[in-house]
Amino acid sequence: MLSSYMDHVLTMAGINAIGAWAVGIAIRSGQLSVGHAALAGIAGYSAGLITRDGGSFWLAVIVAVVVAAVTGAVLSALTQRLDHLFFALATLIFGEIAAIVATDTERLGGAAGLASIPFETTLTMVVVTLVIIVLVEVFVIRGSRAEVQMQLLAHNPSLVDLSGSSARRQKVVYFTLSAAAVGLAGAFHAHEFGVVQPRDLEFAPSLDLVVYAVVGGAHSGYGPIVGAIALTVGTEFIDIPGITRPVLFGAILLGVLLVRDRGIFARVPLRLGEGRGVTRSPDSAGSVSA
Amino acid sequence: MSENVPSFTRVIQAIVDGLMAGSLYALVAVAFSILWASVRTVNLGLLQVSAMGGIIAYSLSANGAVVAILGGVTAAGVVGLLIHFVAIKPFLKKWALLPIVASLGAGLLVRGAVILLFGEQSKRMPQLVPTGTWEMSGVFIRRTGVVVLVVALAFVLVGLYLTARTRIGLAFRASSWNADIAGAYGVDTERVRVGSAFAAAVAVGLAGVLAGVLAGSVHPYMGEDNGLKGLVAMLLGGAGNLPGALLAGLLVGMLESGAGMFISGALKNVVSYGLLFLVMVVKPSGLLKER
Amino acid sequence: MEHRPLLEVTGLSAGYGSALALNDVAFSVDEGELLLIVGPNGAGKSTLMRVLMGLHRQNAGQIIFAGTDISEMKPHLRMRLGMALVFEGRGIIRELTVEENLDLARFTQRWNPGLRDESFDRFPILKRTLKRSAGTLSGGEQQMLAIARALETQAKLLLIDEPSLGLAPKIVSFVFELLGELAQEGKTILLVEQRAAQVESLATRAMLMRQGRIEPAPESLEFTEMSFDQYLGNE
Repeated sequence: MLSSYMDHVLTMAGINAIGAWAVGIAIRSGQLSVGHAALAGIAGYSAGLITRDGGSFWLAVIVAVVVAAVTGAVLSALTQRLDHLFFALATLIFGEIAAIVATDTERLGGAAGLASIPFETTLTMVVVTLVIIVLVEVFVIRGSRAEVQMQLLAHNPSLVDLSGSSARRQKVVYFTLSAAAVGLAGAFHAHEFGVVQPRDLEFAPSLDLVVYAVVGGAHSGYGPIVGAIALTVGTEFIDIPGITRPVLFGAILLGVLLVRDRGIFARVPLRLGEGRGVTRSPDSAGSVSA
Repeated sequence: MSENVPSFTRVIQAIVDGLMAGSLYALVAVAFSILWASVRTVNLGLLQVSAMGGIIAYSLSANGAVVAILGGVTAAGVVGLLIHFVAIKPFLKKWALLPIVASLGAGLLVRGAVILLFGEQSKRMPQLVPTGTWEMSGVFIRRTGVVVLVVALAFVLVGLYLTARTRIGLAFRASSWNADIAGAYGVDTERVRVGSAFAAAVAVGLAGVLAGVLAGSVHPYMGEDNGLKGLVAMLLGGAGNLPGALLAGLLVGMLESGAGMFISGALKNVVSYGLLFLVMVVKPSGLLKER
Repeated sequence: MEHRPLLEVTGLSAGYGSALALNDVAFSVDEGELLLIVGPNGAGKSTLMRVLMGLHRQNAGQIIFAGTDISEMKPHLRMRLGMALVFEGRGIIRELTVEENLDLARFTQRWNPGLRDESFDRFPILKRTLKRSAGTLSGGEQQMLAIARALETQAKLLLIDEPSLGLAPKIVSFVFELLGELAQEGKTILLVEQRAAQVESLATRAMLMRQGRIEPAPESLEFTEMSFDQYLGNE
C-alpha cells in the first residue's frame, strides 16, 4: 500500500493533471488562459464553504463545478473581442482581482484562507477522473468534429465564421468546459489540502498549469496530463525554494518549445503562417516551360 | 490623509503621486508598444528583466548612482535582447501564442537565476538620488519621485522624438505599418526588429531601476506589478501607438492613485485592476487609436 | 563583347502552400527595354513581382540582376542594388505623410535633393500635398507618389505592377504616357498589366503569363493584328 506521503504526492499530481488538461482544452481552442488557478480557487472556496458546515462532499463538488463553469462562461463571453495576447492578459487580471477579493473578504478567511475543510479527496477519485478524461479524449474527441473545430478556432477562426457558425460562441463553449474541469480540480484540491488560500488563485499557480500543458504538449489530449504528472513528481524530489521551480520550468518550457515547438506529445502539426518562409510545394516534376 | 485636508489638496496630491507611479507605467507601456509595433507580439520575459535591472542596480549601488543605473539598464538590455533571440524570434512566423508562452518560460529562467544569485528577500536600495520631501500648501512631493518622473518622462520623450523625426524613426514606423513596403524601400526590417527589442528591454530595465529607487527596495518579484499595469496601459493607449502608451500610462497612474485616495487604500489594487479589466472588455482596441 | 541582360530569371517556381503560383518561369530584361508581361487575373503576375523583389521566397530557380545572383538576397538589399517595385495597389503607407513616403527612397546611398526636385517637376501635386497624410490622396495621386518614390531611388530596373488597377481612365492614360516617357528616357522597365490595350505600343517586347507560366507573345500577334486583350479573351 502506498505511504501517505506518496499518496499525497500522486493525488497532487493527479489534481494538477486535471487542471492542466483543462487549460489544454482552452489552449487548443485558441484561448491561452493564465487565470485558471483562480477559477479552480473560486470552485474550491465554493465547495469548502459547503462541506465545512457539514454539507455533502459530492454536492459541494457539483456546486463547485457549476460555479467555475458559469464564471468561466462569463469571463470568456466578455473577452471574446480581445486577441490572443490581450485575452491572456484579461485572464491574468481576472485572477489577480479574484485573489485580492479573496484576501479582503472576511467570510472567506481573509489572507489566511478558508480552513477546516474536511479531507475528502482520495487518490482513487482523482485517478478515476483522469481515466474518464483519457477515455473521453480517445473515444470522443480524437478524430471527431470537435477536434477539427478546436484547431480551426485556434488557427483560423475566420474560417469558422465563414462557414456559418459563430467562432465566438464555440470558443465560449470550450472555455466553459475547460472551466468546469478546472473547477473539479479545484474542489479536489480544497479537500486534499483542507484549505483554500488567496495565493492559490494568483498568477503563479495559473502559470504552473500552463507550463504543464505546454511542456506535455498542449495540442494533444493526454500531453498536459503527462506533463503535469511528470513535473509535479519531479519537483517534489528536486526542490530548492524559489529557484528550482522557475529555473526548471523555464528551462524545460523553453527547451521543449524550441526543440519541438508543439510540446513532447503533440499529434497535430501547427500550421505555419505565410511570411517569407514558404513550405516546399510538392515536386512540380521538373516541367519545362514552352 | 486626514479628513481635515481640503479635497482640492487631496486631488493635487493624488495627481502628483499618480504621475510619479504613472511615469513608470508609461515607460513600460511605451516599451511594449515599441516591441509590438515591430514584431506584433509581446515579450513577457521583460517583466522579469525589469526586476533584474532593479536588482543589478542595487548590487552596483556601492559604485554610485550613475554606474548603478547604467549597469542595471545595460544588463537588462542585453538579457532582454537575448530572450528575444531565443524565445521570440524563432516563433514569430508560427502560432501567435508561442512567443508569448516561450517568453514566459524565459522570464521564469531569468527570475530563477536572479533568485539564485541574489536570494529571494527584499533588499533595501541605498539612496542613489536625493531624498527628502517638499511641501507646497499641503501637498507633499517626494524628491525621489520627482527624479524618477523626470528621468522616465525624459527617456520616453526622447524616444518619441527619435521615432517621429529621425530617419531611423521613419524606418521603424514604416516597417511597423507595412513591413513589405518598408523592406522593398531599403529598410532592413530585421535590424528594426532587433533594435526595437533592445530598446524595449532597456526601457523596462530602466523602469525596474527607477521602481527600486522610488520604493526604496528591490526584490525578485517586483517586475510583475509595474509590468502588468504597463501592459494594460499599452492596450489602453492602442497597441503600437507610442504617444498613446505614454498618456495611458500616466492616466492609469492617476486613476490608481485617485482610487487609493478617494475610495479606499486597501481596495486600490482592486479598483485599478477592475477598471483596466472593464476597459479591456468594453473597448478592446484601447481608448486611443490602435496601430 | 558579351552583353548581359540586366535581369535574368531562370527556372523560377513559387507558390503558397501546395499551389504553384509561378511554374518554371524564365525570361530576361535588357537595359533600356520596356518588357510587358500581360496576363489575366490570377496568372501569378503579382507573385512574380514579389518574388523578384524578395518579398516572397521562391521554391526553385535563379534571379540574376546586373550580373549578381540575388536569389537569396533580402528585399532591402535588392533595392539598394538598384531594383524598385511599384506595388500593385500603389503600396503607399497611408499613415505616413507624402513626404515620409518619398523619404523612404533615401535609404539607398544614391539619393540627392535634386531627385526630390525632379519629383516635384514631374508631379507638382506632390509638392502641394507634401505634409498631408498619404491616405488622403486620390488613387491617381497615390500612383504618382508610388512612381515618384521608385524613381527617387535611381533604380536601374523599375518593376511596375498593374499601375492601372482601380484608376479612372483619364489617370490611366496619364500614367501610361508617363511610362512611355520614362522608357524614352532610357529607363529599364518591367511592366505587368492585366488589360493590355493601351500599353502594347509602349513595349519593346511582350510576354504572356497564364497560370504561372510564361510564354513569349506569339509572332502573329506582334502589335499589328489582334490586341492582347482579344487574344486573351478579355474582350
